[in-house]
Amino acid sequence: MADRSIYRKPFRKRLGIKWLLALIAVLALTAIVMSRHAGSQALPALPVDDVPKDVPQEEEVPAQPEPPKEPEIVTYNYSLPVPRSEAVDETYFNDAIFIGNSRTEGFILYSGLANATSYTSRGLMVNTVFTDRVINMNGKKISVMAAVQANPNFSKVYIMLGTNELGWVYSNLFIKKYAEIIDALQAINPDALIYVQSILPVTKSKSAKDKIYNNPKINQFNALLSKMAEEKKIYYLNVAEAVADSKGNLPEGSAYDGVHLKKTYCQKWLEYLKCHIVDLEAHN
Amino acid sequence: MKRFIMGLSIFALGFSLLACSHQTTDISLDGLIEDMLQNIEFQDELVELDVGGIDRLYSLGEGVSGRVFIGSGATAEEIAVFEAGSKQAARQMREYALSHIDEQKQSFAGYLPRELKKLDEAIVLQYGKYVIVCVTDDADASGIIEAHLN
Repeated sequence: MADRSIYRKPFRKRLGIKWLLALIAVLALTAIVMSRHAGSQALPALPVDDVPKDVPQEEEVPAQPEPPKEPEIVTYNYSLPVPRSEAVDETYFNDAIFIGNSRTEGFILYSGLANATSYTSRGLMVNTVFTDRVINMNGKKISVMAAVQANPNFSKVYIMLGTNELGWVYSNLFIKKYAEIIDALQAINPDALIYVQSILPVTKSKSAKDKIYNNPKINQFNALLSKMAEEKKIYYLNVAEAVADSKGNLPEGSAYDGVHLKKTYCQKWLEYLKCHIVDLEAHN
Repeated sequence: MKRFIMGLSIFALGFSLLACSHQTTDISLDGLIEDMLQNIEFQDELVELDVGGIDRLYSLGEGVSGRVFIGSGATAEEIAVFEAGSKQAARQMREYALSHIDEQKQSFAGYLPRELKKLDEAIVLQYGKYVIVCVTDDADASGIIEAHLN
């Protein structure tokens, strides 16, 4: 007969070891589970009264300042005139050039804008900008575009042309030539802001009796200018609203001949330009 | 003796005539301008230019100061009065003024030809160290100006 005790001892030993291993495994599993839950449970707040008074409080960590927000970039809507902006002073025009006919000539003389460069000539038109030698530079007469080319360090251009072209049969030719001026300016100085100013209205009495210099014709040309500005992605300034009355006419008495502005109206024109500025940083 | 006295008299007469021809009195420019603005007829409203505006129209020589009044651009009408440091400087200023009138003629010829008559008859005169310019079609203008110069 086999000795039972010999068979029992190994069996019991094995069983004991198994139980031990099982216990260890359970304990280990429990520890793992408990450690995972430990962080998710908020510690209960100590009642205030339980906080010993002589224990120094932790210093509050000052809140970190929020990082500055990036300015919101807004895509510019070239189909609309330049909106009203914060007014600038006259130093804004220190690096501006003005191109125009007799109305701009009067504006420069009457507005007191002594610091801006102007290339103006009575009777100047979109085609003669390139051809007529009307600008006196260093004792020589050169064209407006040649003068611009000779002094390319400007950052803004204000153009007002069209009054003398109101009698042209083909308005699309006027726009074509105007666009050529824009192209030439952009070739000379690609970074400059180009402002196309609307043609100013004439007085009601002038408009009523003149087949050429009348406000319906001016409005038609201005609509074409606005469209050209949109297509070329340049800035259209509705300066007409600076001087026009509620019906869109130049007020009687504002211009000697119904066309050329008197001093006070040139000053209104300047004030309008000062508060209709394009901020390049605010849009792309 | 008689010949001596006659010679001395002729000399004295000649000397006094010479002195008279170079004598010009100082004029009140502000008084002249006020008179011109009030009593000469202009169709346009004349407005005084600041220094920058004057510089755009005229080449002011050294030591020359002046006041200029222009119209709105609808006419060539103008008043300009300058005071130079010397007669020679005034002579140069008169040349500049004539050059300005020529430029105006070219400018208005193709634009408003009716203004050419005023420019053709423009008053540009030098009186001692002063130069006076007036563009108007008022025939009384020269008389009004000359009343200040005598």
